[in-house]
Amino acid sequence: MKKILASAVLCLLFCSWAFGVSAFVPYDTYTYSTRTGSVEALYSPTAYYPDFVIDKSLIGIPLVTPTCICFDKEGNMYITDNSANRLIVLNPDFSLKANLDTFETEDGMFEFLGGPEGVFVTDDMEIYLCDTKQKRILVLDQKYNIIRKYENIKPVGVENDEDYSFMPTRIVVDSSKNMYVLVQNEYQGIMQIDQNGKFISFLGSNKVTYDPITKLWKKIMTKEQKKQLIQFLPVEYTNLTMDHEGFIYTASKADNSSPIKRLNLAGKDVLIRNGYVDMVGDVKTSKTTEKVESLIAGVDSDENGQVYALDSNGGRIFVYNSEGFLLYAFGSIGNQIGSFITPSDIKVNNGLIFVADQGTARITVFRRTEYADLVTKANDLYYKGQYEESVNLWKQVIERNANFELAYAQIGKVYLRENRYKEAMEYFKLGNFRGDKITNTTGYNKAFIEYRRIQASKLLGPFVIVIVVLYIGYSFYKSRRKRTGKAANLQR
Amino acid sequence: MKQKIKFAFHILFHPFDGFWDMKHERKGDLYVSLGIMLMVIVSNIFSRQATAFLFNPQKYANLDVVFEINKVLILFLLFCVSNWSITTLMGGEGTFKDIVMTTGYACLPLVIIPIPVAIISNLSSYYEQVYLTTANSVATLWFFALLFAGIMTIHNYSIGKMLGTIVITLVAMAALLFICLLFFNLFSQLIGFVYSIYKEIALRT
Repeated sequence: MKKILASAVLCLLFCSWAFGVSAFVPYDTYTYSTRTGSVEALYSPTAYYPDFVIDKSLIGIPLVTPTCICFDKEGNMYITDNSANRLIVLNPDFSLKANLDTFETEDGMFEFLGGPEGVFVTDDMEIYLCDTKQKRILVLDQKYNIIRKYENIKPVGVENDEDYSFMPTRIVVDSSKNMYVLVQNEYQGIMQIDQNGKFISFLGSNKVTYDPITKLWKKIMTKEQKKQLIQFLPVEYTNLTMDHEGFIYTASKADNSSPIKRLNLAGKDVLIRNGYVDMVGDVKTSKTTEKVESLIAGVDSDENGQVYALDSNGGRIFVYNSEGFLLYAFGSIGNQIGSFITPSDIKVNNGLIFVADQGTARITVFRRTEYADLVTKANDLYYKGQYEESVNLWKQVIERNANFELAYAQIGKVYLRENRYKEAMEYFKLGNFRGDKITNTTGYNKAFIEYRRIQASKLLGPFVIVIVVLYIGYSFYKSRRKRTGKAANLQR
Repeated sequence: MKQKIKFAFHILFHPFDGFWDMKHERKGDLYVSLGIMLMVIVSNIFSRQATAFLFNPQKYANLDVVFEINKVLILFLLFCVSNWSITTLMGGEGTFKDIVMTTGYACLPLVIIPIPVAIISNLSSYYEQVYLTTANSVATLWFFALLFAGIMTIHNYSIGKMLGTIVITLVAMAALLFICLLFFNLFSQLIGFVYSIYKEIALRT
């Protein structure tokens, strides 16, 4: 009896432990399915769980409003604390390395920060700091001494404008030390500044978006009326990061068409968007009645080219693979660990997702679950060209989430490559992947054409024989009838 | 019976003659035309279900048969009623039965083309898509041409008057639809009101 009781208690304990993982996750993970012809959000297994948070209890000093996170190549973490006017540096094990609010210049003076919003560390360990309210960019060396200052940089055309304020909010630096800076209230794009602090050009300006009714009104209105109209400005960028290949990922709010962009150094958007749904965060599904709109506040990408987008409206994180397919979406607004109030930046390092949240004054660190590990691995193997291994992993993914269309599509692609057309068609069907209409390189269409060709060539021989036999038989029958007819005529 | 079905196909290629005969020589048959309407519903459902995966994004969506029936039936009734109510006022010679029969016969291309197209689509890739879409649009155009010719013939209208009638018919259809929706909405509110009063009384006593 005791044994049974003990085992029952143990069993219960075990159960609570097993469910514990999913129980403390304050959000649902989902992906979009297009199998029925309309978009539907379907639950998926939990992909990431909040592992720990970086706040006072971990690092010893309070974070007030963390705005920007950056990692250097050694894994040290840099956090700008906007309203506390300081830069916090953590070791790779997330213990406090430095808490910096004063910086020494070369001539022995001390400088303070004023509302720093962005930080970036280059490969040769120079720290670029956006000292937003003091309108300057500071460059620090490894001992956190100021080695350069860039102040009050003005773009071409407004050099003599006294009112122009250079308030940098985010910065990235390329390998030739050109700076790419987001400036508050600057609508023309990303400011490109060279090493000497000279303005080069604007990069990738967003387009102005009108609604059609305003467009119509503008045609009707007189010049005076047009002047009174509110000025329409292009959408401002909210965040930018540099990926491992030197491309700049940008996020912009309130831009329906492309809130996430990947710019090359000529300012052209080169993001691949092959996915089932647009890369805009939440999309409208057949079940939602009100308009859902994500505000992309941050974006980052990892070494595999996966894109992580942060939605400050729904508190969600969207993970896309390098071709723009949504892998999973999760997150919520709230106070619990794993939820955010006003998230401001997202960074990925060693497979962990770091989200800085000003509302809850902490940085939440998410870790992959077994499911997400599988997906990532399968995805990774596929793009590395290890197709057979990736098929096995995708099949394991399907066992855990039968709604995940990308898994079917990727298996289909591999089978198509291996000339197993029938199976490829089967998987493309399950994955709702028809293929491109123009290029026709992969997808159901391609598999179907190949399958049809084989079937046709198989059937052609017998088909011709049947036709010939039928024709001969028919003409034989006809001539027989003719002859008998003639015979009958003769007889008459 | 065979003759009657043959007549439906005769109308396909000789619409003016055919519809004239239908009205004046009493060659048309109401049941045949209603049968064609039924076949339109069947062909709609068939092409939704049997069109190949490549051309059919809704292949694996749930099929709502009632909705499919309503889609055809409501449009059919709406058109017939509003056309009848307009043409009686505008000196049309056709009776309601004529209008129903004309609409029914005119729908024949929507049966005889989409069904084979749906079957052939199972053998086609994206390269052949253009033929399928062309065939389907031919069916639609044919249907409208037949309807136009038929309505014109049975009411004995000139082309100009016919065009005007079509515009007014469309407006009447919209008005009718609006009134129907309004009526349903009000009626459901009324029912809700009565039900809530009943509930209130039943719970109080």
